[in-house]
Amino acid sequence: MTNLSKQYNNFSESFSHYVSKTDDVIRRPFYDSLTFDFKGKKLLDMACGDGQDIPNYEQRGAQCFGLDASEKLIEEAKKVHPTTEFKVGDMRALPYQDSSFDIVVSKYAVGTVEEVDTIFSEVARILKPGGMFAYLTTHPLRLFMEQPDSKKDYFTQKNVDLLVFGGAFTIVEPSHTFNEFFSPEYLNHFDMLSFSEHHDPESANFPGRDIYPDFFIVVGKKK
Amino acid sequence: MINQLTKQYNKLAVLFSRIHDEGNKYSNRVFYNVLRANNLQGKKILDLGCGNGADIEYYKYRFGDAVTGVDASEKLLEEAKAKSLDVCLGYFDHIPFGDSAFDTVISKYAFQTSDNMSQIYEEVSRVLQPSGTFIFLVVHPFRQFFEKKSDHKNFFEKTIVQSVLFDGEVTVEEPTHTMQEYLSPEFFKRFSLQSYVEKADFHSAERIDGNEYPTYMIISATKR
Repeated sequence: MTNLSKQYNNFSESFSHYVSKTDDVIRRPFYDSLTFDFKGKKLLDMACGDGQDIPNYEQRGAQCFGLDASEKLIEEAKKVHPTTEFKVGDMRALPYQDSSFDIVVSKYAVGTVEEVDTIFSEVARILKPGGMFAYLTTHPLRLFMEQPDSKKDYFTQKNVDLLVFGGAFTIVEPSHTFNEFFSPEYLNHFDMLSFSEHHDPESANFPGRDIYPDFFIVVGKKK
Repeated sequence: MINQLTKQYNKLAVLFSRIHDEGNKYSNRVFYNVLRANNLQGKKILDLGCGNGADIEYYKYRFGDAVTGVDASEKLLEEAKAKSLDVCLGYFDHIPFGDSAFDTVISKYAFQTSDNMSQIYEEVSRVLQPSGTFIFLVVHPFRQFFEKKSDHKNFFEKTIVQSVLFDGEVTVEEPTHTMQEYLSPEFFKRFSLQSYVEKADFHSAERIDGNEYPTYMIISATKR
């Protein structure tokens, strides 16, 4: 896992460049899913990268905090957003107190760990009751379709090479099922409020490939 | 379209009844376990898409006598009536009962024949008591995607696919669904998701390309 989240260190500069170009396909549906109140709320952007989403959340009136596993991306984030508090850290052991946030948002991060339950219980821990948790992550069908084996197995976790940004990078992610994302641990802590799945034509350009969802977005409210 | 696709079970009634229990025995076990995890003892239960009533007999044995069935196939209902079960003709999107008439609505392998889940959610919510339980099993959207059997499949495009059941003994036609059609705004507006299970059952479903993938899912919810 440490390796999987550190991989962004290797290409942090050009990654930032590409992330900034994903406005319509990835950010728009994610921002559109955030239909709850931000005004005066304490918000954590979990796996914030270089902080490109922070202006949106600040515009909505949130007081923002950012966390990422990559020191280089956090260095970059601090330069661009000097008033926001950024930390380098692990999502499975969030360096924050219990019930200290109103909102946790996260894009393309939850699925990078092998056991997503560890993240769900950590997010539940740092959220206040009634707090909101919105995340976007790679769709299980994509992870299944792009398994390298000729005989694919949805139920057995494997590392999958994913081409992103039209093939500019390869990211490695462990495969996941919906059983894991809608787990008893998640549903124990959160009342799920919305789900949507989306195709990202830029995620990979295989001519004539099947069209399937590349990512999904879930919004839940802490019980 | 829904009426045509649910009516196809009329033609298959005899064959279907014969092999249905045997063919579904693995998914039945999982489904019944989900039901038993809820406290359904003595509850007023509606079985939507009850077929010949095989499940109703089990629910009555397990949860008490207040079990009613609705199905769109007259022929399957004849069999259920012959067993003196409380069943009537009707469609999922026009449930022939009054508001708040049931504590629990159960449905197994039925809703995927519909192309209007929103209407079903509205109807189920209407006939359920506040905080009532809603548990359904449907063909998994991924399985329907593979059943498109093309190299240029589009998950988001609704098509009619041939679904091969029970080790090839039966083929039915069903409209495909996305996951977000089941977990839709209409669903979350009316229901709170309590549990989710997806599993493979290749006795009941055809295995495509030799892969291992979920063939059905069970959604358990309570009315908000």
